[in-house]
Amino acid sequence: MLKYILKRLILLIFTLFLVITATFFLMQIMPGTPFNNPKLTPEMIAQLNKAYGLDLPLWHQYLNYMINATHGDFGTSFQYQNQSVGMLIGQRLPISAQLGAQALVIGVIAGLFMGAISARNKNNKIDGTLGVVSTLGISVPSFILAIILLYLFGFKWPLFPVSGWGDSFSESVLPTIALAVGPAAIVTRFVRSEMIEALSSDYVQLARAKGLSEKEIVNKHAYRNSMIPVLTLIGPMAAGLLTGSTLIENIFSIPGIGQQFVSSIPTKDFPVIMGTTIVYALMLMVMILITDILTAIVDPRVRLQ
Amino acid sequence: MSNPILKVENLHVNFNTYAGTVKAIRDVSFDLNEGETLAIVGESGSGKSVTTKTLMGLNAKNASIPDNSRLLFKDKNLLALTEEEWQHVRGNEIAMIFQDPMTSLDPTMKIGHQIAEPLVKHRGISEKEALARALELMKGVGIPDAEEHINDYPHQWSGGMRQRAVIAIALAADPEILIADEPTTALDVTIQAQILNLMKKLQKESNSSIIFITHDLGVVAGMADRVAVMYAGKIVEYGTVDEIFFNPQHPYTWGLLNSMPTTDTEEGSLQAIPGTPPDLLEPPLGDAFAPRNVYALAIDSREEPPFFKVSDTHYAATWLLDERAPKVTPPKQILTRWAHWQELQGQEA
Amino acid sequence: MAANTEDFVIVGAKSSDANEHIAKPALSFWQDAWRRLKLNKLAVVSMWFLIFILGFAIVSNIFVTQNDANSFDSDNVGKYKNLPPKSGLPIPGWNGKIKEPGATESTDPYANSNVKKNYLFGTDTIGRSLGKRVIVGLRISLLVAISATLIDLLIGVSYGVFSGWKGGTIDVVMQRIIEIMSSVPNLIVVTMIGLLLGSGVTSIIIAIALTGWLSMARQVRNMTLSLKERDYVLAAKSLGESSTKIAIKHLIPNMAGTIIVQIMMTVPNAIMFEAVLSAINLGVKPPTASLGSLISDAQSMLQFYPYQILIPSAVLVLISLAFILLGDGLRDAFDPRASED
Repeated sequence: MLKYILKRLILLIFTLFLVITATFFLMQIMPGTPFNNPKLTPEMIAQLNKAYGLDLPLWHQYLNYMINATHGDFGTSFQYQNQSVGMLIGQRLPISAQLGAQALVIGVIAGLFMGAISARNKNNKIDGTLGVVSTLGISVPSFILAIILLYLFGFKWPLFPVSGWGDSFSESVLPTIALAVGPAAIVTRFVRSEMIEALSSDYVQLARAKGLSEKEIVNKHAYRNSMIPVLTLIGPMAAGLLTGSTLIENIFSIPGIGQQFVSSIPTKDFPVIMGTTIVYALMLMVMILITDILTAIVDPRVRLQ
Repeated sequence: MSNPILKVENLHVNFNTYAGTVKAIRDVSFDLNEGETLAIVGESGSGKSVTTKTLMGLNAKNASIPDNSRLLFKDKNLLALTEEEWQHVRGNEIAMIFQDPMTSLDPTMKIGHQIAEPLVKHRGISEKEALARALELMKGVGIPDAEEHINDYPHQWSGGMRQRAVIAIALAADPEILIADEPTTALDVTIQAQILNLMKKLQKESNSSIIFITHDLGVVAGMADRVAVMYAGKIVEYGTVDEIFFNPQHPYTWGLLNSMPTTDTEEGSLQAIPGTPPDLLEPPLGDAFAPRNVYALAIDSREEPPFFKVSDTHYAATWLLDERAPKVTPPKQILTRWAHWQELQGQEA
Repeated sequence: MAANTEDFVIVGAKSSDANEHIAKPALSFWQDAWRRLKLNKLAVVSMWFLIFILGFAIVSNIFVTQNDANSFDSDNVGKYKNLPPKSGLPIPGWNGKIKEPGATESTDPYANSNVKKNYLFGTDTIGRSLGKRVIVGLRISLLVAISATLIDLLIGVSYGVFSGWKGGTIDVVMQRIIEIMSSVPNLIVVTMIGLLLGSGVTSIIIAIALTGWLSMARQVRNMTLSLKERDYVLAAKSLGESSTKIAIKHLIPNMAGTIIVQIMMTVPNAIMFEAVLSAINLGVKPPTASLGSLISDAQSMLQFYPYQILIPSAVLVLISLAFILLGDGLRDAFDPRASED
């Protein structure tokens, strides 16, 4: 187990290295310069370039970046002067992560619940209704849902604040719902089909033949077996949610990492773009690794090697 | 004979499908005595699996059973039970051994716990006591070094070992009736014999009754006391194992026996029954076997044959036994069997 | 009923030819899938809806040009701007009346500004017909989705077949590449492409195609691995058919179901991704409209002119919904086990 995790971590670091390298050189061929303010004189630009180390040869810049990165230093933002990228991300990531975690927990729990109910009522009205709801849930993108929620509960019946973050919990209600509906719908559909498969399996027939009640069968046999494939679904979903949704943060003016990423694109704030990229990639890989380890713990058939 | 522990009377089972009503079981009646093994033999689609599911109350939701059908277990009509009452019967009074050991154990639960589950449910004992009993059961069904393997998961075991575990689960709560649905079909031939011997040994120890479902007459010979042959949702012939093997009367039973290889089968004499079983969406009028029967009579296509008595224990539903029917000569192999039967009868007399 | 003696004559078995028939007429895989698909009403309705939308998008080129949708009367912006949808019928919310910012009563801006024409879907902030812009936006979104899907099909399927067919080290390396690529979040890839090629339809298509093919490649490769052990493929191989021929004649037709279902998921994803890109300013260049850019441009209008954002949103949702429902129907149709009962 430990050996496997170690192996995966090495692969993870290698992949991360590839991602950083690729992004670094891509940034170099990007057209445009971060210092495009017309008020800047050529001398000032040269000075700025020197200050940020942009006058050095490319390989030197790359080496510097890599060496600094291993020390946890991902450079200084062009946009916000004197702010280190690490600090910028450090301020914003927790906000995105909190919102994402709220949405993930609500979405996954609701999905598990609705999926199981749907499967146990296969082909009747309850299943039909949940089927319509979950299909709608995956067809409506989160940003459109956010807009609808904002219009209905922010403007038409102003129950919740329309923007902001950190002043009160009610500010997070609408964005959380907007983010949670999609995952809830995906998990519902997935759990439903896995559960139906489990409930028609031979081992559930055997459990019935043992005289167990339907409830005992679902709790003791069907849930665990249908949870295993759901785990693999939740990993990447968690990574996506915890790293923040660009659009939702934009719509509700939440100062998260996604919003920062978007604002760094037009200003060509390369260090911030790179830092965010690393965070995104790292989060995704770590989540997938955690999922694999969890799967191995829950599923006795899976051996890590 | 001892008194029957289970009486099945006029059992009908219909399935409502989008294409119409499938009449899977059409008027089946039989008795099961204490401590005996009854084999139900038939092709796939003959209704034998539906019969077992009905006996366990595990039919699909679209199944319907008319009110005049009765399943009397110790004079209690099982068909009138509520789901909760059924749960008390299943695994406790009537237990089942499934066909495919590779898929019938929960892959995510330790085998010991799976064996202990019915005990906890029906005996109301603690998990710990149940596990101790599960260990004994594992030893009883011949699992070597059971102590070491009680915490194993199914994927760590071979098919034969898993089938032993499935048997242990069925036996856990000392059921009075054991239904074995093709328990050896999925196993290698050598393992088959081991499992059959184990079942015989365990039956002797517990004096339980077994309903043995199979399509394989070869397995029946060594296992069963009595045999019922099913075709198209009906029993067409039943009798003691010797009567069915050596004095078969129904042309379908002849066909089944002729399609079974034995040590003295001559080359080329293995006969398949032509055709396929009828569609039970619209069961044919008269004798369902008639279209495949080379001995079919004109009346077969109009009127269903009743059961004709061959002996006190042996009945067959074929018009050939009617006194008005012409004498037919069965296939050569059947004549050999009949000759053997005469010898047996002579010895007894 | 009294039986006569003539009833008791041997008539024998019916001819075995008639006996060994198969109850249902044999249907080919595609016929059978089609029969099952037709049983699913929602999927059939979705299919016709999508065919209609596609046809409409193509035909609309005749009566709504890019120019019609983009041009506006710069002298009369004030007169034509933000006109609400007006059907000409007294339907609430579709009668040309709206509450202007700050007003407490609904007013009729058509009457106030003396506009004779009825805008069925209203106008935007500079007086362009929203209906026309949505039609053009729909065309762009569909174009993006279809071209991205075609590229996805081309790269994903050939990558998957090649990797699975070759097996061994090549397969391991190719799968590693997929693994590494899928650990880079889509948004990053898309952003990079957007920055590199500049915003516009081409870069959107490339960006979506680049991120979309991974799951297709993975599925196709798994299918190839199992199909290549099948007897008919082994037979073709032992007869000396070339790998390309086997792939085209045997492998791809046999995984068509999987591929089609996968596409049904790719298309709505592509449409949604286009909208995301537009929202972060990496989408189509103004004044060109796509469904995504219409939605993101109208965001600031939500409070007072919600129709400007709700109409393109509704179109986008309907199209994704139709693809998903049709995809569900096709999945069940191709997989008989799923639609049992």
